[in-house]
Amino acid sequence: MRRIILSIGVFMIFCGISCAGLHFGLGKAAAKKSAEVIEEAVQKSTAAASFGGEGSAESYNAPTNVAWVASSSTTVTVSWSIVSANGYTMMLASDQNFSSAFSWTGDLNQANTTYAGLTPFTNYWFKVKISTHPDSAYSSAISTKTDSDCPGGAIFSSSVMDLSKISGIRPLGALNPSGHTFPTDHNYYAIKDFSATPTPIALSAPCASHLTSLIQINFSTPAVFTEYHLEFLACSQFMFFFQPCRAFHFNNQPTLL
Amino acid sequence: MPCCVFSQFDPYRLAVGFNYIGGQIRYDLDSRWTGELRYLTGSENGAVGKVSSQVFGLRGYRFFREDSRYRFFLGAEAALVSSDQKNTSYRVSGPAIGGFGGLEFRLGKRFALGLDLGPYLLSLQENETAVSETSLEFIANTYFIVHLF
Repeated sequence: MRRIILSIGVFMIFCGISCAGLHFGLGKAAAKKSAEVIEEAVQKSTAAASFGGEGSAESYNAPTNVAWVASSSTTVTVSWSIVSANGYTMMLASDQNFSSAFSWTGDLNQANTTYAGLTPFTNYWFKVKISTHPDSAYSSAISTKTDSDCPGGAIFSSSVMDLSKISGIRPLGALNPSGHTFPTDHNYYAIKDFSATPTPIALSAPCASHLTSLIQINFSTPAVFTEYHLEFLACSQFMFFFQPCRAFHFNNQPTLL
Repeated sequence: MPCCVFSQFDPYRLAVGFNYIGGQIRYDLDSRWTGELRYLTGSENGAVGKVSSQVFGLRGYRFFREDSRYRFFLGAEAALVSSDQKNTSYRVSGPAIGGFGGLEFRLGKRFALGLDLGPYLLSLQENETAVSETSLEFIANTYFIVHLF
């Protein structure tokens, strides 16, 4: 029995040295052989494409017919022509040099993709290449702009103050009087109280918005006083200001007092 | 009787262990015959990306010489291989069968260390393109087991 076992052992060792490669672990051996099979599969797919089986001789170099198919304020969808049995690597960036791009590789035969969570009213660039061929090239980059998130109709939905406390409104479009340097359209609310110490009037945001800037300015001349400038963003294409304001505090709502 | 001879293991039937790279559960049918279920993993950096494999195997052992601290064994294994490549849809699967011979060394009442070598036949096929390959590989296996009860 001992001689039989010894003989079998010697034979196995001889067989291993001369007949096949030695692997440590069946899992490792399976992974290595699987990688070889996949590489052969990729070469077969590429050969089929280059001989006109599924496209032109250059079809594995860069995908064609890359185009935007849908967009919204925060999403874009893009599609391209595929060569069967290939995977694709996609790249999206907010600059045309793709310096800070989001890149990922999709499934085999994937012909489109959708990006979500984008910034409204912003330019994006996209390109794609075959991932399963080592020499593939990216397509030419295409660009688009996400839609604005501003509503189609009127943006303001309420008055900024109690209208019973004003005597008139000067509509948007009045430029400042000479000597004032703030170069934007203003509208003015003429309050009824012209006393030396008028009662403060509460201001309200005229629509849902985000406070993006709050500035406090302290004056020493011609008198010592403080005023506040507030900047709001209503949507990606529209912002408005409250300035100057004598005082403010937040009251769980964008209301100034 | 000297310590740690294999015949002392008769009361123990169930054992668990780990190998390179995975784990196993073993059941001793008697002092000479044993069955074992194994799970192994492996990875390889291929030309177009990393390939990961999982193997589920069933082994049978025939042990010799129980009256010693070490014992030789012969055996056979049948396994199923499943592999995929990261970020693509390429999938490879197929059977692996092989035979082996080796040596197990008892470290204590319940612990043992083993090494075996043997030829395996792997027949793998890629699902999408039907590319296949059958090859003979020589595989070394090491393991550490703990007899539970």
